[in-house]
Amino acid sequence: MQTVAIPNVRQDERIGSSFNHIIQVVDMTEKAPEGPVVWDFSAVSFLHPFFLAPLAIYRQQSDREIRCENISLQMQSYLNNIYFDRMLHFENAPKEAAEQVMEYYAHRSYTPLCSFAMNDENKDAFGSIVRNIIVRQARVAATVITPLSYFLGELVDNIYEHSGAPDGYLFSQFLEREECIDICIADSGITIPGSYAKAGLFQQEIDGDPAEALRLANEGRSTKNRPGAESRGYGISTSRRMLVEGLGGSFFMLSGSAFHRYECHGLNYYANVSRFFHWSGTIILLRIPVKAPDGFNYTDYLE
Amino acid sequence: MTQTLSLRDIYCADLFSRAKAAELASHISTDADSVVLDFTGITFMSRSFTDELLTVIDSQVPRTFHYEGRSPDIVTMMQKVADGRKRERRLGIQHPQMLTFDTKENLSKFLVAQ
Repeated sequence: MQTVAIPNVRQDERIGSSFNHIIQVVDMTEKAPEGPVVWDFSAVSFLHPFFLAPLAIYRQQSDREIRCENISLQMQSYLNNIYFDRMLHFENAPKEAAEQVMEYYAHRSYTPLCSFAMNDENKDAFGSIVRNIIVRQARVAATVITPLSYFLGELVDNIYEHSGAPDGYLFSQFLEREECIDICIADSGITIPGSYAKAGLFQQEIDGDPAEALRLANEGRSTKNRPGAESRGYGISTSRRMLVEGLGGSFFMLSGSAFHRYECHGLNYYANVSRFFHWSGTIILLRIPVKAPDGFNYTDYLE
Repeated sequence: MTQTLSLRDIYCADLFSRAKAAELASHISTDADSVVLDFTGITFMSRSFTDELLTVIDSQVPRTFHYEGRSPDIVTMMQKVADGRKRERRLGIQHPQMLTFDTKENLSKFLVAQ
């Protein structure tokens, strides 16, 4: 049986290095001989949210049997609390019931790993409940509450509108020392390059490079604009500008075989990794400061 | 006749998804020649919801729409989205680096260095 050592991904690691760890774990798991794979947690005392959420999503999606072993008692308790083994699934749950379940997390620093069904009749209630919990956990400043709602609303709605996946995923963790909230919003859908291919749009610009597809999506090129009415495609482009340029946060997107990083200290690139890596879906990681810089006004970023 | 629709009675306090906005048309009475949308109790309305709401409203011509109970944020959002729908889109084009990595090792070195 193949054993894959799960690294101790510390709280102070950046988005890029968390992603680097994910690639290594996925690569070793994929290349393991047939049969169950063991993820060995013996070195783990902390799991960065930007490592943990993709790890859980990968495990949920994988066809492989993945056994988690050598988990410390403290880590086991944490993993149980966040529903690492089987995500908390929201599908047509009455709002009051969902609120009651989530209330437990108002006094924690994290939310559970949630999956939410695309056909959920109460889809807006799910976003609303999660937003309210995060605001209470992190004591989010009044000037950041509306941007937080904007990010959750637009990025979750993008999954409903474009992914073609049965479920989306959401996880968040408040990092007190860093005074920020790390949020992971993901799906196991057709990916952004796949969405453009399905619509038959921008294929000349993309020219087989998935990083170009991500660039177009982040610039606001929608697959669903009506002729003469370019009123769509603002969700991602406005969210990343508001987060990075307005709030001084960080934005990361992985979709299929490309990823994008955009951070306030100057990082802004798209990378094609199709030669050796493919993620079945899209993951967006947001690092959101709980306080806004002086002079920030979210309406300045609305288009 | 004038029909008043309380959005808070139809939806929750946060209006997030485009699909939910599209459902509004089904709440409009065929007899109504004027509709009042009452936003009392609505705390947030997303850009996607707003855009779809305006699409629903446009599709109802000659029926007229009036608004009540809108917070300043919702007034601003509706104004910005309505303005955006009238003019050509200005894309947020930047000049990012476009990178290609041939091996996992090269990517790993690049990521660790940052």
